Amino acid sequence: MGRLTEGEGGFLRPPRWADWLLNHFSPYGLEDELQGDMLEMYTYWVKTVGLSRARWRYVLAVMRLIRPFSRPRTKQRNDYSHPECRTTFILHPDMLRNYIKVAWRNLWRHKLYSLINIGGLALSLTSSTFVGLWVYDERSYDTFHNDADRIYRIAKDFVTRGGARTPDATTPAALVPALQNELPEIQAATRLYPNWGQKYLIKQGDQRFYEEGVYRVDPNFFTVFSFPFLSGNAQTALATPKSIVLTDSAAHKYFGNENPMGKRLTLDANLGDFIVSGVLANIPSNTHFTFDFLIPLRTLGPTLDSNWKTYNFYTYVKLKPNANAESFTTKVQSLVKHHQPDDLNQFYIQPLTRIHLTSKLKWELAPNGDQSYVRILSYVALFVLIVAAINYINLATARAARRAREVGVRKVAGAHRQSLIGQFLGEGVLFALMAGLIAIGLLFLLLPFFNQFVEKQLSLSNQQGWMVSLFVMLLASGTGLLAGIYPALVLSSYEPVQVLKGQNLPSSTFSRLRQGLVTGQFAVSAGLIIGTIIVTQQLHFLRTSPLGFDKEQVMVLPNVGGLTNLDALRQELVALPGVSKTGAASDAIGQTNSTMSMALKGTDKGVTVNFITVDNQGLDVLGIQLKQGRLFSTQFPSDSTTSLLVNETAARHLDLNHPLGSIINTNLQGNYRTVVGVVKDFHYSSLHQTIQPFAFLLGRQNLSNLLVKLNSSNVEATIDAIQHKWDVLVPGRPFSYSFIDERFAALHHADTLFEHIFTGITLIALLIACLGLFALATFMTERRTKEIGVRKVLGASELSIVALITRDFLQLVLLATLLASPVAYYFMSGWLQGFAYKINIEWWMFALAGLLAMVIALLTVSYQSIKAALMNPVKSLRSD
Amino acid sequence: MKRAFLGELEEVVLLTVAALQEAAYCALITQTIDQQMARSISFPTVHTTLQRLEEKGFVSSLMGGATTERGGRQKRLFTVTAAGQRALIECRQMRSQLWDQIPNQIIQLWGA
Repeated sequence: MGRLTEGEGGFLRPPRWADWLLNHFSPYGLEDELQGDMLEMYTYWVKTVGLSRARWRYVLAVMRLIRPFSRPRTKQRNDYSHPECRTTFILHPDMLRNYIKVAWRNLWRHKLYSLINIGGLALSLTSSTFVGLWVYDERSYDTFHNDADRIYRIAKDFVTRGGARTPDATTPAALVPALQNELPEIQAATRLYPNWGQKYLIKQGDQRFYEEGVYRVDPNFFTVFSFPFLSGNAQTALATPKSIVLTDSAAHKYFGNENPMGKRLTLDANLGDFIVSGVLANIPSNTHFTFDFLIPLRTLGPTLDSNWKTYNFYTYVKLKPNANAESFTTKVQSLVKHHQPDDLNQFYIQPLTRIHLTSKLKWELAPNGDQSYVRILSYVALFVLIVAAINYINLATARAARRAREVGVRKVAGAHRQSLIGQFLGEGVLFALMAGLIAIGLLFLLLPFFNQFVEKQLSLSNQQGWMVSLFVMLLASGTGLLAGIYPALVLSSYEPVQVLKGQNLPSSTFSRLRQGLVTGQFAVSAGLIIGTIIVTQQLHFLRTSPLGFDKEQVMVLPNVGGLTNLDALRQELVALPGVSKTGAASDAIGQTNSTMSMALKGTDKGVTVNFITVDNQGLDVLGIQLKQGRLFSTQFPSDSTTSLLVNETAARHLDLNHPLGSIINTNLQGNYRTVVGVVKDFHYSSLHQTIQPFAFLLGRQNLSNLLVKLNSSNVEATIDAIQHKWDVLVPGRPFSYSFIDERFAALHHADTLFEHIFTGITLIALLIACLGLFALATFMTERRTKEIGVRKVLGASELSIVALITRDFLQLVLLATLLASPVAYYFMSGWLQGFAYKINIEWWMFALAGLLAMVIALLTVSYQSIKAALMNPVKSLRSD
Repeated sequence: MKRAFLGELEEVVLLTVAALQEAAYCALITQTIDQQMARSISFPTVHTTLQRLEEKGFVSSLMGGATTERGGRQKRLFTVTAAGQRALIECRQMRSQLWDQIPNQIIQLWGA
């Protein structure tokens, strides 16, 4: 409001700051008259008492007039300004109807904007909610058990005499009886013995299947874990040694629709018959272990309770309420120390609900999730929401000019500012709620596809569906409110006189805000593109980096342990056209391996070494490369008892300066073997882990896996041929197989899933950002039609006009990339920390992301800019 | 009802409003008092006094037209209400009553 100073001599201007004060802090309703009076007084004072005193008096007077020093004493202060305005009621039903009508008309009149706005918000709500569901599911592991916060798993660090530590989830069987007898904090402690890779042949009438999910547990398993029973009950389920509990799906598999209770199931010959004593509801997917059958632990033999040496069991305890978990840890450790003074292992406890995301020990019962994935995806979901909210603000402010006249008319008709703010906020929330409804519909519609995509069984049934719907609606209205605040405040502040004259809308601040928002939007997009590039590169690296052995076309046939006609089978197989050679091994590479403590003879520095036992052909089939010395050979019959192969890392850790001929104590108990060869390091596990010491032993026992190297272009046919031979020669055992390269791919399954989700959500974020940019470009070119017309009349080329419109946007995108790069670098290098073998983040990734963002922005804007450039100026200029 | 008391300052301001007739607004009133009574009452004082008078019902106000000399801003124009008139007359009567009690010769002696 610069009218005070216009047309006056400089000396007649009262002190500016005092003027400002008066302008802003006059008592309500008195601004106008006071300023006018004060201006007159100032002129009068300048004439009568001179300039400096006039200024002084002016300041003094202002000080006394402004709030809070002067307050109108009357209660009816509004009578001073708008005598009849108090009567309007903001929420009058007539007004509400009018608001909704106007909102609806606006929606239909600008169909493109509405579609982009509501559609974009719905899309982002849907995708963020999906990611949210995924995150919620990851975080919900094992929380469904009663008192889950009091349940802990006991784990240990496996410590060698050399001081090497390996975090490990297994515990000895004797731990639970000792705990129950000696520690009063414990309400219940229970043991779990998984199948350890063994497959049980289970028979019931004609039904016979190999089953992996057979766990042996203590009878009090159900006092710690609360898996719900469909039939039977927790107290009696595992009471007798020959009882078996199975899940609903397993029951259907063997018994169809019959009631399985009290029926008989036959397990492998040496276990015998079991009577079904309970049926559990199917195990939810969010547990860190899953099973189909439970049989009593007693089947393992009677001497368990005193065995401290065999680490084959998982121990879970439920503490009493109010028990102190920290002091419990130290008690567990000292209890073990008391029973096993020579044991160096460090015992500790893990909260049950944290196992899935943070544990990652050796011998986990199922692959764990990853905290960092959960965190990154949570942020990504948030970012996608922000992008859609930015769209909303952008488009709403861009459209503000069109609503300005409406605001003017409403104000002239006596609308309060509050009622206008309420109107626009309400409109924002209304549209957002429409988006929310669409999003909920999409959620229910797309859930099966999403489940397939992330390989989870998320459900939106009953209560969960209601919760999610409520959450989406809350999120939607929050977004609508947030996005509506700015337009509401700005629109409602218009002066009716100004907007009704139709000129000089305050648009400069608008465009700066819009630029900021577009930059933010593209910063998010560019950041996500950078993330996608890095994730994709790393995954490509994981898939293609050489493992150090030949993983292609190596088939693993399990269940050959103790097979009497194994040699005959092998001969038959090698005779097949697609098979080149066979070998046998105790374990296949690509899963967790057994370990032993080994030391160089004469030292007692124990080193934890992974090992597998192979036959003479095993290493040849796997294509393990020799560095020095020799592989196992039939020419040295003593290999099976006295020889050892180690990898380079093992040679280094065992301090073998001249490895060949070194004598190693392979179990620290006096089983000495001589190193006959050193093999090159190879990846026997996922690339998350560094290569650890590894050894090969030659042996005839425990060779339960047959490795078959194929040499075939028609793998399918070869597998069929192999199966045929198997069925003929091994009629008692079902045929099953896997491939080494698939086993390795499975190790990086979680990473691949992450890549898919990340890429998917990046695409959605980009799409939403582009929609917003497109609408904005449409709007901007519309507003500049006349300017472009004038430019063309003055001789501008089409190209220069396209450049003019495009340039602004490209600058923003460039800036956005610069802003996003450090943030993306920070997050993605954090993600890469989880890999022992990883790519370097290089500058070209950022450049590529910037380039991609630019190209995408360019394509989005180009349609509008070219359309504007090609328009005939006569059309745009004629209207004036 | 208790008779509304009219303070000295209020009386001066109210009189000025009456004197200025249709054109009485705060700035002019202040200036008039300043010039004619050679007494400098500050603008905010006059402003609050006017508000108080309006509260008591001695003056009423309405917004008047804008003029360029005050930057196009409106004035609040005051007029004396019937109650104000009564109060002024009463005030004047009381004074003249007192005046009347002073013997004429003394007044002459004062040189009035």
